[in-house]
Amino acid sequence: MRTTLAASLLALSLLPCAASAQMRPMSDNELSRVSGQGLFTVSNSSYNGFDFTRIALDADVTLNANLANMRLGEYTYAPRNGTGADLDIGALQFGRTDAGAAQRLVQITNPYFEFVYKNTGIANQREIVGMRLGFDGIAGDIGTKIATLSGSMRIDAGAAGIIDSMNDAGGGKRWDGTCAGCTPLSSVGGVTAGDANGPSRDFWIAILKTPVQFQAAAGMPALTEAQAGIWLNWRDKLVALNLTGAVPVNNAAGH
Amino acid sequence: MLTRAAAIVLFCAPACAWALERLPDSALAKVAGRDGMSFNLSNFAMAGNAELRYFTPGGDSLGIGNLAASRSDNTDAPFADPYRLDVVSGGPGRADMINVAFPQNTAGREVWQIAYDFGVNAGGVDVRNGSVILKDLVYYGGGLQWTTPVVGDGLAFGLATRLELGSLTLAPNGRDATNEAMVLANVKIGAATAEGAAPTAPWQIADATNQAGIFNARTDAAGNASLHIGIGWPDAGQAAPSGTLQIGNISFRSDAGANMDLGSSRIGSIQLQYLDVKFRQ
Repeated sequence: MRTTLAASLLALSLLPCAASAQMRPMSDNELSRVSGQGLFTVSNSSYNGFDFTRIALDADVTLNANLANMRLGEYTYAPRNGTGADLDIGALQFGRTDAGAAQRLVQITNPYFEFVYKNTGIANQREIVGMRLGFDGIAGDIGTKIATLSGSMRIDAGAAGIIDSMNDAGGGKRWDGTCAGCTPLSSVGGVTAGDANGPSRDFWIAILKTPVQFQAAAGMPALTEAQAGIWLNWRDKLVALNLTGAVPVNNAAGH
Repeated sequence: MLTRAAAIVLFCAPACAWALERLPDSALAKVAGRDGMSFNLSNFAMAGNAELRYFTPGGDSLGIGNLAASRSDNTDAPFADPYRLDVVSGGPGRADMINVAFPQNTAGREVWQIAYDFGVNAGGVDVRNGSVILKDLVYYGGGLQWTTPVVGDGLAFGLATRLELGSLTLAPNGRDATNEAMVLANVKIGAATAEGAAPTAPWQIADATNQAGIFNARTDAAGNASLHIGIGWPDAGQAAPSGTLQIGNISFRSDAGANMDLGSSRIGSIQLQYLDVKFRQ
């Protein structure tokens, strides 16, 4: 009996040692794989002589927000100064509260920041070229009131045809939204982004010191080269909400 | 003998606890809202080569290191304007709130200087992205609130901020090589005012009372849990506060390439009425 008790105690005393011998510290990398819950995704890439580092929120975002009186890039641009800013947008409203629950919110996937460099692989010779903010996808009704656009934008205006900044003789830099024989951009009070096949996939705004050719997302046509300054790109799956220029109502009282 | 007496005292000690009695919820509720604490910084500075590295589930990573931070003080009134932490009433029918109020810093003499390096290791490429330098960062009031949500589980929060930043510099070759850099100068964030005017009050981005933020985990119908951060619609009859972002100048300077001055930029009004961020599995 005493022998059995002693053996049991010995076995118990050895248990922690045995368990300890089988365990090992986890590296941060291993630990990060345990939960499977990612907050960010990051990537490095090179394209057309530029290096890109992207930091994205690995998330689905639904949003209702109003942005007003945006003037981005207020500097003198001699070839066509326009209203004095690269982007002069009186209203940019994500969602609307006058058309039912489905239109109240805008869905955004993977919002990201991307830094643009040259020579990232050469110490002390790295050059910062700019950055951009964008979304992998955006779907919903967005109210717009655009006075001046620097960028590449294409809107299907139905029977009124296509509104495309690439038809501008100035290449879309400081474009006032007018062109011969087409519907002016100022008549568009908003757009529906995305369709039954998915969200609009190419919304971004860049701050650049030189023109940059960004790489298109998978399955998308090549992007228009972004020009120096503040540049907005948005061409995929955009349909005009109206051609009266009326920005939809979007206030909390209507939610 | 002495040992035995001590043992008896110790043995009896739990019996003394019988003098305590449980507080009912109603009595417990009366305790809160009276006390608080404050803390201040004086001659604060820190620097080191520690690195914080976030790994994605796929094994890529984002690292921040070589952090240096310091703050100047209002020497005319030291310790007169501290950070404050209080428990305050949440109003009728609502839980109490933990309120963290930042210094009002009316004179703007509590000024931060911050710098850190960052890099991204992804796809087998380890890129040193450079240094981020925040020069003359000044907070004016604002703060955080935490409480329990009115509906559902999680943590409800409020957030308000007003800040001015002398410059934000991204220097790809390091903080000592700022001749190659992208610079955002004279940045101001706060409550929106008349068009073009600088903010004079904090922007209440989320309000624990009228438009609470929420932080929790949610499980979908398939049983998959995900982290969630959001800001609800404002309460009935309330409007979401508007903020403004103003940047005095955006510029690039470079020895290797072109210099560029992109002038000023601003978003006159930003009104966040609803936000829901659901992180992926």
